[in-house]
Amino acid sequence: MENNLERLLDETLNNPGVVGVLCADKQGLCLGVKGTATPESSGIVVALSQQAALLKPAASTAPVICLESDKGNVLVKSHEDTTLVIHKMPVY
Amino acid sequence: MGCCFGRDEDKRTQVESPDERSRLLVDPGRHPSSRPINSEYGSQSPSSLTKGDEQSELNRILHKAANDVIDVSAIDSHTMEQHEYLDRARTYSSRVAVVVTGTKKPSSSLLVLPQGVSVPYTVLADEPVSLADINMINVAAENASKAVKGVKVKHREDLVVQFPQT
Amino acid sequence: MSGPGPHNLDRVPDQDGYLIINGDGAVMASSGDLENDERVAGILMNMVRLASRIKINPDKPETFKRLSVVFDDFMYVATISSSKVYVSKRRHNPQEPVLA
Repeated sequence: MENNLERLLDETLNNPGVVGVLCADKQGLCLGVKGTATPESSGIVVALSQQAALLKPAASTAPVICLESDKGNVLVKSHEDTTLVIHKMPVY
Repeated sequence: MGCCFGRDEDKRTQVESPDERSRLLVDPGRHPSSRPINSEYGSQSPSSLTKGDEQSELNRILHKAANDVIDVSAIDSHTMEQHEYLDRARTYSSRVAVVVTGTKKPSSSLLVLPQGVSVPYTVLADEPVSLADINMINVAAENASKAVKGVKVKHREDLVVQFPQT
Repeated sequence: MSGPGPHNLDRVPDQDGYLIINGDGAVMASSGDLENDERVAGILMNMVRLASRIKINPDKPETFKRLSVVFDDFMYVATISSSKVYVSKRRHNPQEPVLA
């Protein structure tokens, strides 16, 4: 049921500082998006995640990728065939 | 799915009217009036049987060179009038002006790196990403993976629709 | 290839090696675990190019300041400065006390 995914994205969006979430499959297809994340970015983040996995091919789990700036962070993590992206604003 | 950030290729093919992409010289291979160059070298040396291989090799090179030469005098080129030169010059300079002053080509943004920070050391030596953020994305990604596995396409209508035959 | 330079990269804490890559993807300087590691340099270069197309903030055209790739025991951190990519491989200790 896609309701579970919807609920998970909503729950993640409720975390402090989180302003956007995106979920994509391994081909870059956007499966769900909320907040400031844009569906157009799903192909790029999945490609980014696939490149990152090449850095340590023996690793059992994919790394966490984080794009940091003064205005906020973008976190990317793949688990099995699904990639999740979280957009976060700094909380003071 | 559609390609994110896809770009249309320049699909312009050879245009009929002469423009900046049309060839000024016709390919001599296809041009009927290009003269074959006589290979006098070969006919002049009947005594060079011992050097036959070398000779044929030289002939081959000569023929190849002759084929590659574009004989400009043999091509009945379309002579351009003075006003045509001026027209073309004007067209080209206006297009160059558009390219120079217009928006940057999107493809160049793929190749050129952003300027970035002024002191890389301080950025790299800064505190790593907080463990709270790492844990949050780890847990959320695992849950998302589980949730996606539960997504199934429910088909409510027939995939093939029969249209009534008239 | 190695040796201290004005970039001070050898002084990054918990570091196991660094890379400096120019805009063409060529390794200009390297040290430690990353000494002449063109494979890692190529992958990180790809990542930096991809990442610079992601907007951090929807309202501003700003891109990332630092790219971190965090594995269980180590991480790569990368940044761009004057059209060169600076990469540091740092040890990552997940047991550090963090009080939320």
